[in-house]
Amino acid sequence: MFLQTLVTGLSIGGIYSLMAVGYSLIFSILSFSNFAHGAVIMLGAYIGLALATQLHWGLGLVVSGSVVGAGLLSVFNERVAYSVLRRRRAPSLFLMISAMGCSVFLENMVYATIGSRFYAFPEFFKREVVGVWGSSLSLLDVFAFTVSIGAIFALHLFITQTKTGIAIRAGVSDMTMCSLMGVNTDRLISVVFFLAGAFAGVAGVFLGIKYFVYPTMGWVTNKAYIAAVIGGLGSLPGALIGGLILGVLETLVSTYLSSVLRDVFSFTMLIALLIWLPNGLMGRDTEEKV
Amino acid sequence: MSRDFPLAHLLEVRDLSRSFGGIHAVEALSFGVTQGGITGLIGPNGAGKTTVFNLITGVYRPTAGTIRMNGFDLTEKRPHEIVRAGVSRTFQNIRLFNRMTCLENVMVPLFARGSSALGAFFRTPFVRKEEKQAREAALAVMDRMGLVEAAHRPASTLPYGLQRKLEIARALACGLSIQGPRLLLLDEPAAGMNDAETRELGEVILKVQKDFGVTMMLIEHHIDLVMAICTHVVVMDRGSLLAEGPPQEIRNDERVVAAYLGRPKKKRI
Amino acid sequence: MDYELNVVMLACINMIAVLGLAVFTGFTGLFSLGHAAFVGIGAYTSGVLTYHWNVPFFFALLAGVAAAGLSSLIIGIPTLRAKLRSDYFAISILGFGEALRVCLENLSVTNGARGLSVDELSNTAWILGTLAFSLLVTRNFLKSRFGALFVAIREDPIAAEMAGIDLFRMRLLSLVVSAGLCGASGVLLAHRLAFIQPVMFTLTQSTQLLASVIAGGIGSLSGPVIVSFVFTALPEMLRWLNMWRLPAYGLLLVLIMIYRPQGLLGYRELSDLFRRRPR
Repeated sequence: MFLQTLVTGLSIGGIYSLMAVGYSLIFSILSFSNFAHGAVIMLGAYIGLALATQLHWGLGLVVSGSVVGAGLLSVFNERVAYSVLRRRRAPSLFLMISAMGCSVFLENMVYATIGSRFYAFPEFFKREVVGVWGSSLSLLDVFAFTVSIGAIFALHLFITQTKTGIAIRAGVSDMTMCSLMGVNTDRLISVVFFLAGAFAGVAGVFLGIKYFVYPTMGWVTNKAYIAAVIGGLGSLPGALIGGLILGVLETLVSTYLSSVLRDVFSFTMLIALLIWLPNGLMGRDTEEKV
Repeated sequence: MSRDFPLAHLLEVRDLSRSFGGIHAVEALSFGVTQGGITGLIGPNGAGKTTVFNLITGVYRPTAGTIRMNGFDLTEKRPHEIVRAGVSRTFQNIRLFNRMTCLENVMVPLFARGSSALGAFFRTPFVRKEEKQAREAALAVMDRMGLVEAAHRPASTLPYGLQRKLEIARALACGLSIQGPRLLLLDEPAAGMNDAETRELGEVILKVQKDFGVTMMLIEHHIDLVMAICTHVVVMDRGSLLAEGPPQEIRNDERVVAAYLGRPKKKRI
Repeated sequence: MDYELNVVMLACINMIAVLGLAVFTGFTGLFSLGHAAFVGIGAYTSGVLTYHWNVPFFFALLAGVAAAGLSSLIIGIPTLRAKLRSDYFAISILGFGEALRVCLENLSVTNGARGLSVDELSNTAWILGTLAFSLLVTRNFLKSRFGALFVAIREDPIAAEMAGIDLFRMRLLSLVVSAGLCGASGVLLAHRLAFIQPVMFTLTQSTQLLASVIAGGIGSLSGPVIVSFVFTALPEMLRWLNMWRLPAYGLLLVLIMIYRPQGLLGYRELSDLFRRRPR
């Protein structure tokens, strides 16, 4: 029973991690919480849904299509809603409000145009279960977990090994210096937003397959944001660990205590953790220099 | 607060250390600030001078060591409590309340304590009287600093030199309601000023000290200014105390000269 | 006529809540995604009192304000003491709102998710009277030393602390006052609509409050109040617009941040426009 809960928790945690990565990536380079990320994930799910139901593409193509679509959407979002603000060096509060606005706009545009209906993906996975450590787990969960961890690992390699990745890390530590050294920061930021959007696309499709596709499905991303904060915003390993921890603890709470209390528990844990560790588990010190 | 024995130092820093993720910004630093004087804190870039100010004023908590002001332990206190113990400061990169007028900037510290919110809701006569007193006290400080003309301008519209002065005025206002000695910390007040402006600033500092009877400590890179106005100089290098003494002694100290001009190669042991 | 009056009354009720958030976000500079929760606490506290115990409306109003103010301490004390980053604070207060919704939906005294039918007690006089009183008290409060301290904290928290301001206490005070105003708004709302439900006090409503404050202008009271009136009244007048109201709020937030971050009357009041020299 406990093992079953643990495995289920890890599989949910994997998807949380996938979404949390987007928050962390953007925070690491622009130091603000991109509350529009949830809407990008939701739109990623709709893109995937359209490809799967209208064009009858297979899972691999659906995920790739959603990755590209959500990635471009994320870049577009940055160009329209943030780039002016960041060039003006506006306070991060303004960026956050703008992000909030994007989120409200996108979510309700979907409401107004597509409607609030719940859509289901065609069945990519047979309702088959596999045994993991003596407990059963759906094929989808295993697949989602593997892809999530794999994608995060690939991102880690990209950031640490490639030239663009190194430029991103330089941008994280000092954006002004980076631009003085001749790095095109606009392009760099677009790359980061594309990566965040790409992860949102994968997460959106998985969420859509696991549950349904509907306008407010982005609400789940509040959990992902919590996961990113727990792990320490701006840290990739943090996003991974935060997602897994949150997924497991949440599943434990809903199994052994009450599923009603699950969300309350997540928020309470977040607040308690922030009071104890203001920068999360692996976040860097964001204290302002005096 | 009465004391039975004469006070050696107004501010006493003992074995102060602070590290940031393994880097020792300040390490086992001890020094004292004599009441009534102007103490200069100098040292090469990155010596940890501003960190010392941040530790004294409670922006950072020390990793080890103690800070005492007038015999009162400041080490674990929160910033506003430290201000109430008589320590106020200015910043290396000026930090004014830009959208407020100059007068309001100086009134903020005077407003930090006062009557309760209930009176404020109904704007009682007592609240009005309190505001009027704060306004007059702030104007008096500004008058002595030559800032009265600018009283109703937004702080951000002042020229650079006046902004520095305004910051000093605000720091002085912090001490107006305090009984007992006060310490004013100035973090590079002459940064970005030319020689003439720096000399003028030196006169302002001396005048402030005379007019308000505050003890001062300042971080400064203009060595001429330090030599001209300081009664005592503390030299830091790499987070630790390098030398301490009257300006004349410091000027001739070989270690200080070496720290500033580069170290002659020491023999490897 | 009845219909128009009703719309105006709802707009007035909303203005009181916006007034509250203006104190907290506009003047003290803290971002909140959960102020609708305080509206909800005011609504439910008073609703339960009048429904179950027939408490006179005036006392229910006081209780609603007090409950909202006190409950803000629950979230305010730990988060403000820890000086959380503003986005962390925003998500914490959102969590508080969520926790509240879960409680309301599962308590029997609030009749759970089905909602509570209460008496229609807030008439025009109560609403206008409370609005006038709130406006006066808030204006006085912000004109006093507290207003100056809040603005100083918004402009530069570190410099404010170094000027001797107890950051924690002042931010907490600002939160309690703003929550109290939101509570008053909730009491009036509950007894105007005669029906309350937990879903009426969630992120969507918090976002609308925030949109009014930002569009009206940071550091201004009259701006948000005017804008909130327009925001509530306009969609009611133009029914066909209703579906597009929320996307429009979102778009408006983005456009304001890009083209007019000061909003309608940022850092100024309506009265300043009629003075010869702006302050």
